[in-house]
Amino acid sequence: MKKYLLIFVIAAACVSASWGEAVATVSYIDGWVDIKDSSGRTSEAFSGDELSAGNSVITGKDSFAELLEKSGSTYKISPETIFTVREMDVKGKKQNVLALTLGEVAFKFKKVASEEPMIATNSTVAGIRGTEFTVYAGADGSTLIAVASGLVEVEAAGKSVELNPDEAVEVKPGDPPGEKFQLLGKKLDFSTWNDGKKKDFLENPVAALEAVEKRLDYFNGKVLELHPVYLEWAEQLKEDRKEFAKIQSEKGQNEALEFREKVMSTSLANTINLSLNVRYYALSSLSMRRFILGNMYAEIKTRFMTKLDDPVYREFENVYKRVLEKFEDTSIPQINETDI
Amino acid sequence: MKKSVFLLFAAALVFLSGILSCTSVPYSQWNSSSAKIVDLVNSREDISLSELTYTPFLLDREIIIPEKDISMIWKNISESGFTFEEASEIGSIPIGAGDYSYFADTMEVRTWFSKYLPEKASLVKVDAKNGLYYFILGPKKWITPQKEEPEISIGYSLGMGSHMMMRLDEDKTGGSKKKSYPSIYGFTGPVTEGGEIK
Repeated sequence: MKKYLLIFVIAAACVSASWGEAVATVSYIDGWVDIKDSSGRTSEAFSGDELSAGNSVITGKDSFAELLEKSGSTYKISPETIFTVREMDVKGKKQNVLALTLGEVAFKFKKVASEEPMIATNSTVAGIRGTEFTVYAGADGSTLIAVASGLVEVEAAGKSVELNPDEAVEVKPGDPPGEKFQLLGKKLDFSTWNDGKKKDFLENPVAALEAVEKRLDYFNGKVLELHPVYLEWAEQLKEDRKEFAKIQSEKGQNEALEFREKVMSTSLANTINLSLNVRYYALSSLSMRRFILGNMYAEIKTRFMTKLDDPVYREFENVYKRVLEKFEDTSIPQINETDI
Repeated sequence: MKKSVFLLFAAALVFLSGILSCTSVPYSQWNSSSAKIVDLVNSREDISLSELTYTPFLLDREIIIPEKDISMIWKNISESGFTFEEASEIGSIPIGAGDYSYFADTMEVRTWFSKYLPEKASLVKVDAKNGLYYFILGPKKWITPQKEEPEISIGYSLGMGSHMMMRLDEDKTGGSKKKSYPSIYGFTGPVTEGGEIK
């Protein structure tokens, strides 16, 4: 029943004006690039394809894509990157979140509108007051943000740092941003940085997995916090609808419309916004589980194929199972088949 | 004269029944198909295995999407020294969307089975000394193998001469010697008798 209600609310959100609006257009493609749409269908991307909320761009080993916003802003998506446009409610307003799960995206904003774009990775959220910066999402869930011009505010684990031009910061999953450092005109090499992350992971896979667990706990925690509130508002909306029908039949259309505007609009907006945010955190959790946790498991399981009784593998497997159990209990109920 | 006509007729019948069995039993369920994959693992041909693997690939309960992860999986398995030790039984059966429990009974694995399992897929069971493993195999794919295979390993399931099968299984167009293998969609194991992934 709860699931049906959520589906109804999402359907209601679908008909709202901004749903499905193109966020950007594919302006350049090199090699094979996939677009996964919100129904879960994956197809080859071509120049001119439009990208809207719920869509992901997935580049392969030797492929590259460039997206162009209406404002002229560009996102350059490097090889082996997974980039998704998500939607969430921020202070009552629907906002697009540019989510980088893995790989490298260079953002160049022409003009920062009154609504600051949000950039999210597995370990951080960045508010943009800047114009040109690159975000790297590593194989262990870490993020590196390097600013070329403007200001970028990076927030993680309740703490934030402001990056000025020629500054960068690394954020490990579940931790606040680290110390920012000067780029001194050098361009960061994602591949070298990511190799270092992988090396650290292989040296201590259990610690790396526990860091991912910390971040997944955050996403799961948000789902646990918001879902009951969503259910309360959804119940209120149901009551308001009954009341609306009663007023309509007893007092006429005008009074019913007044009730809808003054009372029911609040429960409708809150229900839609909360459902968006519950989905946002559940999908962030799924993304991290799929591309970071999945990669870690595959790496360790296959390396230990001939020694599955090794204590390191055993410990890793115990933490892995614990993480999956929490994910199954909390985020999976908010995820649909189309998300898989 | 009559005897030779009869023998010719019988030989033609055997040949035709072989050809017919090729068309009625999906390629992924031929015993030779599963044996070829086991051979590739045992001879550590990770590049060939990567080429044959489709994404999203199912490894135990994980849905693997990035291409580089597929290469990493087969490379690690090869480098770990893993082989199927004395595989006593290699058999394949048709597999459908309801057979997810061979991998895991989770919403993600159930969804993978209902969305991504190819038509005419087969579940290959490899019962080896070092454990019980399962593959999900799909339609035929032509690749140039990393290493030369001995001819005898191809086509023995139909009891036909290996040279005859070579003609069906080889494509020498463009100078490269391509061979057919089943595509790989999933791999799990070792699993316990109760179906748990070890």
